[in-house]
This record gives sequence, C-alpha cells and structure tokens, in this order.
Amino acid sequence: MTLPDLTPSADTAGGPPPRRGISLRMLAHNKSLTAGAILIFVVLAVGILIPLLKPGQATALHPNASLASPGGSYLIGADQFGRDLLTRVAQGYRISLAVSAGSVALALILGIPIGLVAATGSPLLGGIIMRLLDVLMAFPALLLAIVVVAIFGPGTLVLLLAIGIVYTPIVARVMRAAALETSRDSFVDAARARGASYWRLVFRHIVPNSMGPVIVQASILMGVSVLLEAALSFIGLGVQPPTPSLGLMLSTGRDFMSSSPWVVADPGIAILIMVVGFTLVGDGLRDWLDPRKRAIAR
Amino acid sequence: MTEPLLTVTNLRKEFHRTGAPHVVAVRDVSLTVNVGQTVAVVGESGSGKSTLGRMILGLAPPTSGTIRFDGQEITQLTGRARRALSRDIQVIFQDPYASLNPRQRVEDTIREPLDIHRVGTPDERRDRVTELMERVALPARYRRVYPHELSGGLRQRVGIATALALRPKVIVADEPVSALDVSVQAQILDLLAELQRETSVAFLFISHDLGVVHQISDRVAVLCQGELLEEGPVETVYSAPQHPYTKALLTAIPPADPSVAFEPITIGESRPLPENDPGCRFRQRCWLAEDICFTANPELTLRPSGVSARCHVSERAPEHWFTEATPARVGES
Amino acid sequence: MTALLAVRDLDVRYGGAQRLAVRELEFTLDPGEVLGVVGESGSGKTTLGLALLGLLPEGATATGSVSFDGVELLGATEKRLRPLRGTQLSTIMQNAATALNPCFTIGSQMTALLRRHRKMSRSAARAETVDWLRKVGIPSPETRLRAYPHQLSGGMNQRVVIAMALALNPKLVVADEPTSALDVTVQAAVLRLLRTLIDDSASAMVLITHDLGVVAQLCSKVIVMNGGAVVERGPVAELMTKPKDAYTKRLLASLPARRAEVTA
Repeated sequence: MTLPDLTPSADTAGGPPPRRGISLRMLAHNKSLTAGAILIFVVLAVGILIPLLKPGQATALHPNASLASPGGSYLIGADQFGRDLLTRVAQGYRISLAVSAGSVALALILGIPIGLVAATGSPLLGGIIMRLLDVLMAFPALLLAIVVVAIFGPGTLVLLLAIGIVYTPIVARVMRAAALETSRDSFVDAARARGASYWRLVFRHIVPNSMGPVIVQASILMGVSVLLEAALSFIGLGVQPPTPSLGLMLSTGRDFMSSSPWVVADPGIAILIMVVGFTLVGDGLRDWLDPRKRAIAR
Repeated sequence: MTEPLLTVTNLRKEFHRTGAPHVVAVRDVSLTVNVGQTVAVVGESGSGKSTLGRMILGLAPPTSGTIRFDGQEITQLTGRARRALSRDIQVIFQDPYASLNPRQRVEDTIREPLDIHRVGTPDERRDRVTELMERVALPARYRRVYPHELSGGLRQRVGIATALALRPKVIVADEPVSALDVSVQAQILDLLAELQRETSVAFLFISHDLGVVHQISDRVAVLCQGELLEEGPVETVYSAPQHPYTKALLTAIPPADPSVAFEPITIGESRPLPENDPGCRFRQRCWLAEDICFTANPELTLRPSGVSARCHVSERAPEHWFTEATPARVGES
Repeated sequence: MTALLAVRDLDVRYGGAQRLAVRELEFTLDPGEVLGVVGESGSGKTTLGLALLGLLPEGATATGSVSFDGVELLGATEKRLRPLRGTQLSTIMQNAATALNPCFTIGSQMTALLRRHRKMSRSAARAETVDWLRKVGIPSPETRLRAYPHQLSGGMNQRVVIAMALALNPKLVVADEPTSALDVTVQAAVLRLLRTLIDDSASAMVLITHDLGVVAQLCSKVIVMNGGAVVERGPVAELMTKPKDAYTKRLLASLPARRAEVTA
C-alpha cells in the first residue's frame, strides 16, 4: 500500500486523446466503404446531372435513331424508339433512388420502434410482436409487394409503400437483436443501477449503441430495394410507362436483346452499379460504425 | 448499537428455466455493512457473488429474504422509489471496457447521475464533474474523450468518479480491479481506500482475488455455490479460517517468492448437488468430510475468534480443527 | 552446447505504429529450462510469444533473429514451420475454450494429433491419449475421451490443452497465461500439475504471464518487460528478493501487500 503516486502515469495506453471522426485516412483504410461511396457518387452524379444537361431527352422519340448503337451522340446507345439510353438510365436512377430511399425510410420509421418495443418491453409483448413479424416475413418479398400493389393499384407511391412494408419486419428484427445485445452490456446495468428511467436507458444507452447493425442493414436494403423495384416494374406492377425505370427498360428491351444487347445491358449494368455500391457501403459501414472495433483496429 | 447501514437477511435467488432443474444462485445469505466499512464477498465463478450484488442494486429481484438500507426495508421497492434510492447506493462494475457507454464522452458519463437525479444547475453539475475528475486524478484533457480512447486504469477512474458523483453511502464494487494490471490495480485500490477515509462511504467489494480483498476490506464473506460458508473480520479469517474451503482458497495463491513453499490444498472442482440433498454443500470437494457431512448441512455458527462458519468439523474443535482432522489427506487431488 | 532457443536483437513493429511492440530483445534458453516473461498489458510479452511461434499477424514486421534448434524462425515460410509446430514447438494458450475445437471430442482431437505426428495406430494413439489424460489428472479418462469441450469445465479443458501441448515431447513449449482464466483453486491444481510435468519432461518452456506468483513457482529464470523492452533479467530467486530496476520494484510492491500465509 505504499504507492504515493496517484497520478495515472503508469497507465499504459494514456497519452493524448487521438483524433477521431471521418477522415480521408479512415477512408483509405476502409476499402469497401471507399469503393461503395465512389459507385454511389457516380450514380448520384449521373442521376442529377445528365437530365439537366439533356432536358426532355428521356422521353423524346427519335424514330430515325431507333436502336442506335453506343457511341457518337448516343453515348451508351438508344432504344427501339430512338430515346437516349443515358438520359433514360439517369431518369431511372432518380426514380430508383427515390423509391429505395423512401421505402427504406418508411421501413426504418416503422421497424425501429417495433424492434425497440419487442426488445425492451415485456417478454410476452416481445413474443407476440416477433411472431407477427415472422408471419409477415414468411411471405416471399416479391409476393408480399405484389399483394400490396394489387390492393392499391400500380404506381410509384404504392411501390414505395409496398417495398417499405416488406422491409419493416427485417428492420424490426435487426433492431431488436441489436438492442437485446446492447442491453446485456454492463453499462446498461450501471445506468439502471444509477436510477436511469426507462426512456433514458433506451434512448441514451441502448439506441445509440444499437444503430450500427440497423444502418448497415438499411444500406444493404437500399441495394436490394433497387432490385425489387426493378422486378416489380419489370412485371408491370411498378413504375408506369412512359416514366423511365430501370426495371421497365429491361422489360421492354428484352425483345431486342439479341440484335441490340445494349438496350438491356445498359439498365442491367446501371442496376448492378447501384446495388454493388450500396452493398459495399453497407459492408464498410459495418466495419467502422462500431467504435470498439475501431479502437482495436488502431 | 445503531442499525447497520445495509442489512441483508436470508436473501435467496433462484433462476427457473423451463425443462431444467431450477438453479439457486444465492442461498439465504445474511450480511451487514456498516457506515464507512468495506465488506468483501469472495468466491469463485458461479458462487453467486455477483447475483448478490445485483439484488442489492435492484437489478435482480430476490426470490425471498429482505434487504434493509438506512433503516428502511427496500426489498420490494420498484420504479421511481427504487430509482431514488440509487442516490445512496451506487455501483462500480468489473470490466472497464463494457461498463462505460462507448458513445458517451467522459464528462457526460460522470455527469449522468447528476442529470438523472436533477442535482444542481447545469453550471454546478459541470463544476462537480471537474471536481470529481480531479479527485480521481483524471487529467482534464480527457473530459471530452470517448472511453475506447482510454486505458483500463483511466476507464476505471471514470467509473469511480461516476459512482461518487451523488455522494452515495454505499458502493457495490463488482470486481473493480480484476481487469487491470497489478500496478494499476494497486493505484485504484489506494484511491478507493482514500475516498473511503474522506467520505465514509461503505463498500460491498465483490472479488475473486483474495490478495486484493486482504488489502482493502474490514470484513470478508466467503461464498461457494450460493452459500455463505464463512464470514468475519478479514485478519481473523485469513490467519485462522474456520472453513476448509476458505483454507483451500488461501493456500491456492502462488506466493511471489520462490523460497516460500507453495503447497496448495487442491480441492476438486465445483459440482452442484441436487437441491434436495440434506448434506453440506461443500462435502464433495472437502478432504475432511465425515459421515455427518453427508446427512446434515451445518448451520452458520459463531466461533470464539469472532468468525462465523458453516462446518461440522471446525465447529467441534474451532481452535485446532485443521490439525486434528486427518492431515494426511491434505494435498490430494 | 548451443542454446535451444536464441533470440537476438529482436524488434517487432505493428503496421503503421510508431512504437516498437518489442525492442532489442535478447535471451537464450537451454534445453529443459523454464523462462518466465513477466509484464503488464502493452509490455510486448504476448507479441514475443507470437514471434517465437512464427504466428505474428500480417502487417507486423520483425527484425533480428529467433533461432530455434538451429532453425531461423523469423521470416521462415509456413512450409518450413509446419513440421516444427506441434512436434518440437508447441503452445499452451490462455483460453482453453477456444484452443480446442468445439466440434470434436477431446479424445478424437488428441488421437488425431498423435496419429498425425507419430504415425501411430488408432488403438495405440487411443491408449496413449488415455495415459496422458490420466497424467494430467482427468478422472475416468476412458469415458472423458468421448466428451466434447463444452461438456468439461474450464480447468479440465486446460488440462487437455496441456496434455496436447506436451504429448509429442516438444523441445519448447510457449505458454501464454496458462492459468489466468481459471478460478483460484483450479489454478492452484493446474500449477501443481505443470510443475510436475515440467520436472518430468525435458521440454524447455517460455512462460508468459502477468502473475509473479506463477513465475516464482514454475520458472528458473525470468525477464521483466516494460514498453516492449527488457528492463531486468536474472534468476527468479534473486530478481524477486533483490530487484534492481525501478519498474520491477514497483511491480513487486504492487502485489497485494502480504498474501496470507497459512501453515498447512
């Protein structure tokens, strides 16, 4: 008991607090986040800029340029009506992004509270909620979306609603699992022992430390919902012509696939870029959202 | 004599699982803690020592028994009334890596108890945080830092500052130094002892480390499979234990001096007995077990030295039970 | 006779870290010797253990020399290291629960090890496994052969890990905190077991630990590490009773003042 020196100098990892936050160095270390961010940036740039540069081109018909091959004034070709595929892809990106973002936002708004209640409420309530979600999840996503569209009729807003409802149970489950995991950490017990109320426990301690998996899931869902939107539009239940949509372009272009492959290849590659971009961002986010993992990485 | 600060009487905790026999984690344990006193609860993993602490903290409802604090029965308190009590009963947890919210800055963590219990104005709370950080020798530059940027010792200082914020009367410290390096451990123990001298805070010190317990406590309670086997002043228990288990624990620490013989009494590993077993719960591991140990669980009785123990053999000859009882078998595994 | 293990001028650095994890480390170990490596977290003791086993993670760079029985381990290819591992160079890890494969019984894991390296018949390997389990104090080893790691306690699993580390009669065992995860009474039993096994075998051992008590009981000589460098070295008895370095002194002074001495 003869250690008069109470200063924490002996603590091995003391030193000045390191800088934190998003930095270029961090991006350099996280390759999938960087790659995904670049792809999403390309998607955004195309979606925003191209229609501004060529207003009206997405729906303008040029019969003499029907199925024009890539190059020249049609950078990535034209479809059977001579519409510029680049501007159509760009318009399709706008629609896709809006539908994906809207549906994922809806899924988050509904799913997060449901998941939190299931995790922190009474076990009985949690059990009931989870079984109901299981029922919803037992339907294939596409089928469920078709049901919603069948009830409300096709249209962009209904599409958004349908995909949002399909994803709600997924978000809720991830939220619940993450919240349960966090509640087991001893800092939650410590806060309880200090007299923290239910709301403080949930919103100060559990939610901030459980959002990582939810955000990761959301960005992956963004990618998947692009696919779902394309699929629904492909079978005619999503975006209605003449509004350009990537799925719709695939659907109408498949008749010309053998003679003019770019008519389907363009929207196909466009979908691929977007889906891969969001998935990579999701992966990358998973790596750096967890501060504990970041501490170890350093 | 006035009533002790904290009195635990016949506290019991059972965990019921579907399709499996229920588990008794804490078995009718009674304990008292006085103002300014440090009472250690020692035991190996699965002894129920942490569950005991959680019940006192209100984190787990007891199956039966009572907890009295400061003249008030608190066993059944729930909700707002129980939360108000946390001004006086605070906690320091073991793992300084898991016990701090990774998304709260140091100052927010330390200030949280003040926020919860609405103590003072925002300015006063800020000043109190400064004062607490100084008190636990946490340099001010760590104020706005996140826990993962701190070393184990610094984190535990944050934990201690937080526990002290409301000037509690008792702190339940669950393995507060087990995750720390020895040199840091010594500093934290010194800090706790110093704080106790200044503020008369009492500690319920839960630990598996008998060396640490010896250094910091006034009294020690030995728990094994949820049962209190021995309790008494730390010096007396360490110099003349009245229970074979305590004795085995004390000999199990390898001395940091090669010239000192290390002859641990090796006892078998802990195996739970069926709940309806009438005998002593330690007898399977005990090298002194006699016939009576299989048929009757001994009572916790007070011995002349001031130590209470639960053992037939030592009860019969409290002064020299150990040498009288078949020493030839000592050391067999 | 040349030393079994000779570490010369060993520097280890992780990735972009500024500080060396291990700095200018030098020591030699003769056959049968037990060296204690003592240090706190961040002292580099675990890094040293990994370097000795050729298990430094990707991104770590090591310079200097680690020569084991005439073979340079630093920079050696996996192909070169694989025949050494297990047979001549083995390890006891801290966490027995993760050191054993949860999908296989302890018996099958140990017989597989014996069969692979010793080219034994199935029944001979089985018999030897039973012998070893008995030797490390596992009751009724014939039935325990069929137990999965999760069916055994932490202490029992650690005994299995010890048996597997020693079964092939390695020339060197690197043990990283072999008893730290165990309850104190179990630790005492495992320490006693290690002491007998070390006395009986010709294996040398590098024992990495934070616990000076463990070193005092098992080792003949000791090096104390702080911040990646050796601050003091010497025979155990001398270093513990008459430490010279300030850090060693402080480490010894930090031990819970006086461990209770019970006359058994």
